[in-house]
Amino acid sequence: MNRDTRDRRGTAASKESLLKRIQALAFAKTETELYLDAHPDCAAALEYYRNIVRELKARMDEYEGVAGTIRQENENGERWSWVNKPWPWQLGVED
Amino acid sequence: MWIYEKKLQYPVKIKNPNPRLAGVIISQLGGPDGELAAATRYLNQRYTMPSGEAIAMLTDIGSEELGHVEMIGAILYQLTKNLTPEEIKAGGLDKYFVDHTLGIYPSSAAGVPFDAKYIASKGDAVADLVEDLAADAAITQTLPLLNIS
Repeated sequence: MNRDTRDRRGTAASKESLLKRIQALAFAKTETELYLDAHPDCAAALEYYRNIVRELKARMDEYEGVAGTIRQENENGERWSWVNKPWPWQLGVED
Repeated sequence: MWIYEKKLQYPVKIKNPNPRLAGVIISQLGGPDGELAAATRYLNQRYTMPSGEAIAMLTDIGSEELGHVEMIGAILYQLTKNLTPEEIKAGGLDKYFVDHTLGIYPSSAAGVPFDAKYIASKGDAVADLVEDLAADAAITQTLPLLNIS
């Protein structure tokens, strides 16, 4: 029995739009990392990066609250829910 | 080392299987100019780069390419989901199926298994970085060709 007490409410559509926001932020983060690799002294880029990271962390925490763990160290239920489906290539196409 | 987050870099939600398209897109996974070649290239070239900046760049790009490997796998998985033997044959995937069924096997559309020969790693920054430029130009050529199916 799943005794994970985190809030599992949230429609599929709202989870999906939250995940899209996360994916957009994570992409901006990745691109900024590449820019910083070539411009490590660019203070403006570093500040931009920190702002993205801040919002991304908040959205990831929010997403994990409604959709379950996507970072292993955040498991806080009574069971290792990492093994649960859907895995990312099953999301939205499989029960 | 690597950390995995249980999400795709970009959503993949294909409702309609299409074996013929899968048979072409598989080159983007295991072909000479595919994502696995890109990841393998950058992650192996990085060790002998002369500057921390170059090492960082190749590490970060190579890691991102692994995320692309995953997305292509997701695309292929969804394009071939629940295909019947008739659909597999009609879609031109019968030769792939006999050796792999619907498993994801990194190979080219022509059936050539993924090969480290697709990359160069010479331990020389100029040779390696110029190879990266050539590889990127090749990818730019390949992507529009995926429409051929």
